[in-house]
Amino acid sequence: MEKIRSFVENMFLGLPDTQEVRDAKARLLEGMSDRYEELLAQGKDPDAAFGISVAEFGSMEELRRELGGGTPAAAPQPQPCLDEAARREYETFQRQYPIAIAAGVALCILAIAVSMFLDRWMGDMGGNVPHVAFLTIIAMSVCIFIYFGIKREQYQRAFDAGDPSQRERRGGDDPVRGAIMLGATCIYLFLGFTKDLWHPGWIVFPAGAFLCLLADVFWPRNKG
Amino acid sequence: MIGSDVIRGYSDTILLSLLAEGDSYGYQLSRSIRERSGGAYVMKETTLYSAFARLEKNGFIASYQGQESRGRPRTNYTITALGREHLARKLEEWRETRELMDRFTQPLLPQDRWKDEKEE
Repeated sequence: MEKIRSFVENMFLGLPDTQEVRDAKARLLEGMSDRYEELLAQGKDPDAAFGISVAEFGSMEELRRELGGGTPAAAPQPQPCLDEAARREYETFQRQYPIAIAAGVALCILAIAVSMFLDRWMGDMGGNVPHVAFLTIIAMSVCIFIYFGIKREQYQRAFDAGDPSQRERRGGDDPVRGAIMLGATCIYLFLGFTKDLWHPGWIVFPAGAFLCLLADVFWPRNKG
Repeated sequence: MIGSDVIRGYSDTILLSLLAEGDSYGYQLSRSIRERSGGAYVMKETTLYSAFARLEKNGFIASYQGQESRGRPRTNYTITALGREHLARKLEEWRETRELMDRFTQPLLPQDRWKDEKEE
């Protein structure tokens, strides 16, 4: 009898908890239990009786239509409201993103240009000023890349969560690129502080960018 | 074996005609259907209860709690006046359907004629 009860409970999962549904569930349970008991009384063993009862149960489709059950109303409804505001935010962000990336790259180039200019203009008097200027501007660019990069991942996780290939892709090249650029930075700082080779040293950054491009070629984004 | 799609249209008529003979409850009706059809038709539980819900919604039957069984009052059904009217309409409709189909099928199924004669 417990099996019958569990069976009916399972069949009714997903239906709203209205009086009508509860009545239908109770009545169906009544009828099915009666049938099960009749089969037992006819001498059938419990498993056979259960099997026959289940076979005679029928499909929930018809009952769902009759009870107006269909899909549970509760869960999906709040989503559209949340999505609406979030989607508009995402759209704004998507407009800002290319501008931000362009600004970041521009700052990188500007950093080099400014430091070279300061170096020439200030000559020996400059001391470390050109290098400080370079790093400061680079720092701003890095902040922009990191901020927008993380934001982008957050949005993509929320909206494109159903796309496993995307997640794989991001996981694939980001560590590689990160490692390359981090390595470049380390080499640059090493060359600068130990050998005072700030000047030819800056070449590691364009070199790093080039290596990232190569990485894309050898480890293509599309893992498929 | 009668297709379930075909017979579903008649489930109201079957149930109302049984209830016209007297009040009953879910399981008893299901058993009557099985026995009277000689096992040819076993109405699925869900079909049965969908029909009850529909018939009750339309006011053709009414439910009430009856004697205890397994520690819970059993749900009994009774046909209403509205239900009897509806049944009369459905019986008329069935008669017309049968006459119509007989016109097409009789020439092809001589043994049917024999079965009808035997029943009468």
